[in-house]
Amino acid sequence: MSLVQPLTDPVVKKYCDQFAAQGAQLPGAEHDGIKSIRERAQSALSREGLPTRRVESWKYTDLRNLHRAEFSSAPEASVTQADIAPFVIDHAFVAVFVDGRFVPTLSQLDELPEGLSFSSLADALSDKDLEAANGVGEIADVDQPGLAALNTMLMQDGGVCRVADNVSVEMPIQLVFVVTDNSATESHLRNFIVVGANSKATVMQSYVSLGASSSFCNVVTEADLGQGANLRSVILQDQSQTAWHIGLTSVRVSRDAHFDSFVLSAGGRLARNEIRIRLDGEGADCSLNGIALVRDRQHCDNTTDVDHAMSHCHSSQIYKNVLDDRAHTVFQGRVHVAPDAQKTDAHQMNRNLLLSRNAQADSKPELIIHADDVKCSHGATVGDLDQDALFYLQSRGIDAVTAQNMMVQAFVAELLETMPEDSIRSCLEARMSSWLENLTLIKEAA
Amino acid sequence: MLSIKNLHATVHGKEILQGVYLEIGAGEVHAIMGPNGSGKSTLSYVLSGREGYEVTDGEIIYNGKNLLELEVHERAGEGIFLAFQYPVEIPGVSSMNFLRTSLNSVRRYRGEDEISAVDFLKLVRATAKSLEMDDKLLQRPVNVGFSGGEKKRNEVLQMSLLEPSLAVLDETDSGLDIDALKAVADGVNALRSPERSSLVITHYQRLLSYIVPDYVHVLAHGKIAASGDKSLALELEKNGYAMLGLEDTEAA
Repeated sequence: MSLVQPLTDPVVKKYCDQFAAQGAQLPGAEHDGIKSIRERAQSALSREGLPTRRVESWKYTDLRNLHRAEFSSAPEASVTQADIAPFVIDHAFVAVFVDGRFVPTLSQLDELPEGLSFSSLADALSDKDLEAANGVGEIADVDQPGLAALNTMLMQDGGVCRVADNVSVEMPIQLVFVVTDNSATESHLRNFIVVGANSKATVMQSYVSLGASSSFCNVVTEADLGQGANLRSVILQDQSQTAWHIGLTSVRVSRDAHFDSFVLSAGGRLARNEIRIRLDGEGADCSLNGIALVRDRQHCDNTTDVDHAMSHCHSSQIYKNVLDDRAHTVFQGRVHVAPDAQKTDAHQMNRNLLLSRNAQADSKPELIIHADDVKCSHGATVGDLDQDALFYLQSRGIDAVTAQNMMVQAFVAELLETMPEDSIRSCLEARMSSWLENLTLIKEAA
Repeated sequence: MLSIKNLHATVHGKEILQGVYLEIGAGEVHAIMGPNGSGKSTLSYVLSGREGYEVTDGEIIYNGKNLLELEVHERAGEGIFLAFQYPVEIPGVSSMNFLRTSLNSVRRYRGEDEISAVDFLKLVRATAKSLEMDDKLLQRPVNVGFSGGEKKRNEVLQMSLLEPSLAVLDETDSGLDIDALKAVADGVNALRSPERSSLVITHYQRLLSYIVPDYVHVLAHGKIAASGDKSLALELEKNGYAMLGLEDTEAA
């Protein structure tokens, strides 16, 4: 069934025209393989269109304002190391992208250890390093419609990280995507991460703004974990409150491999962090955690889809949202257990803390279980701060605002505490604290 | 030090305190007894400024200041400490962070320097030890997984750290075995000094054998129905609240 009437959808037409006009300048245009991927995506987009709220998985997130907005690709901006410094974590390999373009001079990629390679997607798709791009589009199915198809059609740059077999990369790799205050730019980023058998890596993606840009960032990250591999993915979505951020992380987890994801979403007027996992071998395991901190009229959507395709796999999800003002969060967690996926262990929890009676949290678990010997659970809570606890803290001399902040911090603390990388944890904690500093008023909660 | 005059207070629109008069001088220990529902806990919450406890008439003057104009945390800064009948569990807030934030908040309010991390740790360990409290408990979130007795010891620990000028103990004896009761009483007695006062709220005489009061008051129907010295508590223990013409709703 068609989601919209794509042929008459001016937004789809606009993007297809854009592809027709700029396709030749996109990386990989000279390669038939890449060209064919883009064209397949274009036909998926033309056939199915972009999602509306009539599509089940987009029921709570309305893209009409995004579609109404006009974007352009950004001119080269001059950004200095000092501009980037606040976003860069300590002790990491860092790749910096400005307005959707890789900037080697701002990056710190010297002395990569043996077994780790990095290239920009633009380089990989062009002749420079085509082998690195081998497999792009295989994890995030290029024929699937919607924003992922749009991304595939127009993908311009991103980070390609490859870890060979039996390599443990101790230092995190950080991909920093900076949007400058050029007004209303769009970027279609594609990251591609391959972690070989029995290897281990940590990749952090930071999406940040310099100034208040109304940019549109459409990201697809593909990750492929070999047998026994271990990948920790951390996403900090912290663009300006006028930005649009649509992210999809698509992951294939092989036998006995472990994928660990953490998303801290604090930026954007509308942000969607979607994660699709295929547990593709026995003993595969994923742990998906996230925190959304939203205020004003921000909208943050965390949507997950875990496919337990094989037996003896484990998945756990904890998403916590803190909402102030008129903010809106969405959590949709879908778990699919295949008929043969016996001994599946799948758990999901979404907890929402409302600091204002005008905030809204939507939570929708969806368990589809075709096997009979499984342990699956889900839960959702919506509440305000414990007034007894607030009074207790205040009665010990702690002022109301500090007490409130301690309680909010306590609400999300368990998720940050388990982050083993100090540099990443302190970066996320600092963002959390700065969010709390702007939380000044106790409002009567719902 | 504390002067309560004609205090009327309502909770959810219902008048619970109906004209309480109470004067507590520096260094004195006062006990407030009374049947359940007489307004004992309400009095403690009104003193500490809890939301929802509305003062409709009367005044509370504390060391020359109008207490009713102060926020909850300011009252703590002024030296009022409420030991809770049911201390609250706060998952996610570490005990040590809580204690240090509390102590430094009160110190700042009093114009004193904040305590250093090292000195704080020493102080907490020494205080816990004096209360026979396992300091491993303090590695947990506030009161989480504490037994009833451990929670009450934790209240006394906080009291010892904050050194209040008026400690209000709300049914601190409830749910305590005799060892815990003695340890808690020892902690309270250790703080007794010519400057510090206590208001001990209790249903039973039991605690008053360990924390010996200078004055005993009986609160009934939102008013002080009788006052006397410690012998009043003993008489009540013997004869029940019926000797004052009051019905004890709790079968003692």
